[in-house]
Amino acid sequence: MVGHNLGLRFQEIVAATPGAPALFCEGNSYSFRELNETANRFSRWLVSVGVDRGAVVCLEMPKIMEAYALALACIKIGAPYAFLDPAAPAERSRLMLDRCRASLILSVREGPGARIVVGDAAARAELRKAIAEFDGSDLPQTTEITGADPAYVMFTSGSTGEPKGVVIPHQGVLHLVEWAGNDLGIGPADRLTNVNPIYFDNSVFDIYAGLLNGAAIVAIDALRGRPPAELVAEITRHRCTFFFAVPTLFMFLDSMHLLSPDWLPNVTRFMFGGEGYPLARLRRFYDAFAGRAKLINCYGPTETSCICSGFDITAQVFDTSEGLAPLGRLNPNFSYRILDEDMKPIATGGVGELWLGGPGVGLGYINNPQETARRFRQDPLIDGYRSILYRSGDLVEVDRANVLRFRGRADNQVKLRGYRVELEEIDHAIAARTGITRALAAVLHDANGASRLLAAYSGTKQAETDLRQHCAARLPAYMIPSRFIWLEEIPVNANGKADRRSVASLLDEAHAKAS
Amino acid sequence: MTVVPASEVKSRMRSYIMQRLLMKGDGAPLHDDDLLFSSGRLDSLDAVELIMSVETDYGINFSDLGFDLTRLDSISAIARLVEQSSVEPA
Repeated sequence: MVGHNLGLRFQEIVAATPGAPALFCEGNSYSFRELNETANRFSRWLVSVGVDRGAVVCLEMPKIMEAYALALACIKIGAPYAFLDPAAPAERSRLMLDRCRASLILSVREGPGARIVVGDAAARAELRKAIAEFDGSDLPQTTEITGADPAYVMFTSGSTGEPKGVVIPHQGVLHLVEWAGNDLGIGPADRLTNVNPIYFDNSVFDIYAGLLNGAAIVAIDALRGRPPAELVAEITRHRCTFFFAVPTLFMFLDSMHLLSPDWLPNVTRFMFGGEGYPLARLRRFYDAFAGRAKLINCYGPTETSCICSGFDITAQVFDTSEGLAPLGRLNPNFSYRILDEDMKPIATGGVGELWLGGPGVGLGYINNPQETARRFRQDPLIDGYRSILYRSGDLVEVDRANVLRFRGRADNQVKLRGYRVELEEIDHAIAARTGITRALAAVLHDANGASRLLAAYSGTKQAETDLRQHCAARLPAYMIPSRFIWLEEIPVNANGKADRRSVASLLDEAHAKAS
Repeated sequence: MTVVPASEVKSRMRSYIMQRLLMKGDGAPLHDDDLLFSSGRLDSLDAVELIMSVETDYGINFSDLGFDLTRLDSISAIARLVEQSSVEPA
């Protein structure tokens, strides 16, 4: 008998291997028993401060032990948590908090809302003292939570100019955990890196595919401000066996001569996703670890519980003229349709938009019925009963072996360093500045697959540093254009809509001329 | 290809890199031989930007460098590369 929600599944692991290490964080290690007891105390404390089942708890904190324990605590009482970037501009953070209608915010910084600030050691000690009064045993109410209940909210860029919070049910993550155990072989002998930021979708895999398969997770601070050799040494010191990150990070480590079995002798599986890994660069990675470690390309929108397909990289991948590796076959319990613009099925081998179905499909965007209705739709080929598909916007092609290949986007979503970005969100942010009449962001790609974000604007000509500062107050660093180019007028298409493609080619020219 | 004086490359790169450092709250002094990536002051996100900037500004192709970022690891190193590539174009 296996638990039907994440809390119960975690407790099963705790019962099986209570003394095994679950979490390495800030120089300390915590066993499954310790992590579970802390989570249980936090659960009871959350209830005591008025957090009800179904209410959202926002966790705006870095990778500290409390962050992981609080996430598990929320899971156990059925209060979905939302990890938020503690370094996000205050304005963006406010938009996300407002959307969540958070019942409680635990943050490392001051700000609006019902908030407990745990910014320094003293405040953390006080919080630990407060929860120490509560019982550390499992909670009876955890059994009442169903697989269809929300587990967490994960924010992603939104084309309306505001981030969208995807609500994911327990069952979606349970399927992810099962796939990780069965197909990737993750088990108690493994140690997973948690290099991915916790407010970023990929970390859902690190945390749950690790803990709920009995493996330990190692909280590792992202690169910011620390030598990359130290990051790699930390992974090796903790004897990590599974390393999941965005291609940008692996390519960076490769460029710094740090991606080799000498530096990472214990890793037996590397997984990457969130953006394409250019094959020319992937070949170097593959060759460096040939016979030593497996490389897996994974794919999945945030809306469908982190990952919905994986593909083992083999030597044959490099024999094609493709620029990217295949996305692979969909994981068990995912269904799909490939449809054209009129929502009619595409013949095998043709390119169309991927619509995903199954219990891994999210519950919509938090407190945002319009966006939910736009993307979570009734299967256009079924009208006899309810069957909700997520309309991914990804253009794909499928071969006879059911292997999916990425063929582009149906909209203006781009991937920058693994982060998903709706270009309209950047347009809105720039256009919010006084004197600017219209703005359009575009991504230019170089021959090696690297991409660069530029923006064109019309209206009053402004200093680039001012525009950059303006954006930095509204957008995370990876969404700030590296150059802003003034145009007399933003080109429009036949329908009078701003024409992003012409802007991109104008930017390309202007950019080349400026240098 | 026009030859860009090393001093000009250095000053241009310095202002570009300092701007990126400032955006992350790093206002510490930056010397020509200070390590940029090995030290962790610039990260994987900056690497993509810096590579593309050097590619477009100076016509250096990162793949010709064997994707070796350690050759762009200081302002002096970048200036040397630009100098070499303008003497013997790739």
